[in-house]
Amino acid sequence: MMKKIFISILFLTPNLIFAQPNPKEKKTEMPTDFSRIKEVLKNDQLEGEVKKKIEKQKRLNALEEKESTERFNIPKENEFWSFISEYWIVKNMEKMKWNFEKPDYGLDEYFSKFLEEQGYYEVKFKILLLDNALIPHFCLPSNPNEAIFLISVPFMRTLDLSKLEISLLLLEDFVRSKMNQFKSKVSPLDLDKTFGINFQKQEFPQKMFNEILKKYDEVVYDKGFNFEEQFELTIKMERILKSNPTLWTAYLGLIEKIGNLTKTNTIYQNYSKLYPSPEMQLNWLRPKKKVL
Amino acid sequence: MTGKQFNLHGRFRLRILFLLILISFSDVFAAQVPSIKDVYFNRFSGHLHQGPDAQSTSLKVLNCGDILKVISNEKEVTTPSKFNWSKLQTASHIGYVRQEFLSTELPNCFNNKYLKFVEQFKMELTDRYNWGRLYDHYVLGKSKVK
Repeated sequence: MMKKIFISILFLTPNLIFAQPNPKEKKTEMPTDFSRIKEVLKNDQLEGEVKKKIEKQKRLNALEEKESTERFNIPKENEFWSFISEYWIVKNMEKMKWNFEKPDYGLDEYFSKFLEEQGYYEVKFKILLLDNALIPHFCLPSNPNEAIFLISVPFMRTLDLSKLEISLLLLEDFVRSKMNQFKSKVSPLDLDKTFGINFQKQEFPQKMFNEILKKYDEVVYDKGFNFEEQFELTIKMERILKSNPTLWTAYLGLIEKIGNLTKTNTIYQNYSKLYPSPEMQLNWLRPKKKVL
Repeated sequence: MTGKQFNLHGRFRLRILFLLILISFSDVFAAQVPSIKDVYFNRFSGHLHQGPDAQSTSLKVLNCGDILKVISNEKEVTTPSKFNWSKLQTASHIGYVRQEFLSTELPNCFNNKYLKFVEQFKMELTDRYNWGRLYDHYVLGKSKVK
């Protein structure tokens, strides 16, 4: 008996699933008694279920509509900067020369530990090595608790930098980034008001984003940072490093090395324009000699 | 006695019916929800590489949220690279992706969340390709929790 039922279901099911209504077949019109259907539904307590399902569907539709509208949102500040920095990096690939094969310097593990030792926890970092001597080192604006570093391999090699020295340089850029020195230079006045707005029914502020990208070019390729910013940073670095004699000595040695390089190697003459200037930094950091 | 037999047959029929419904809907579910061996690509853009190496040829540009089928994980994949790689399959390619770029749960993708915003930047295919290369070149790290 069971076998017969099973076999008959097995044969019948595909017919039921794949059965298509034949358009040539004439449908026999049957009057539908809706009031009776309603009564049956009520008796089976299905009316409540139907209501619940309709409500659920309404909620889903509203959620879908919300998501669809939100796709026209301009990101809030905490999600914006990493995107725009990476977009700029991608658009400047040829100029920056980052698409090249390089050895593994082991910076990932070393710099993670270095940051922890300086009390910077839960920082996600991305270091991009460049085959370009003209962009020595930068930390681009990024989302909170993230850092996007650029560092030149020719610069590292010419100075024969150790992992500690590279880490000190990256730390300097990281501290500068936390002081918003880069961000403040590339942010148009109205940017804060633009974060998080929805542009579905208004014009997309393309000009503003083009302006930001242009400012990135200016900072990295041309103007860098001014004396005032460099002074503030140097004093901050002193506060961070001076309690650790090893780091402090290494930091002073690093600035001295860079200073000598910029004076003697014409390729790096532009460095003092971007970071004015290693010589001044040393003057700010070294104890002043008393004149008797 | 007869009633009990009837109930047993009824239950048996119901079970078969439920099984048939499940089979008929299985394809629909498979298209939306990844199975246990499926993973999501979790970076903005990336590459499915021919071999377990960042310099290896790109077979396909991947976008955040793309679903990939895991063929094998690092234990079976011998690689000179210091990273762990997974061997994966997309619709038409079999290749490798770094495991840290994969997640078992749907990531919160910037390019999906701000789809229309990203579209305004009118990225070309080469931009997407280069963005993927960027993640091959980055030295990635994270300082630990205090």
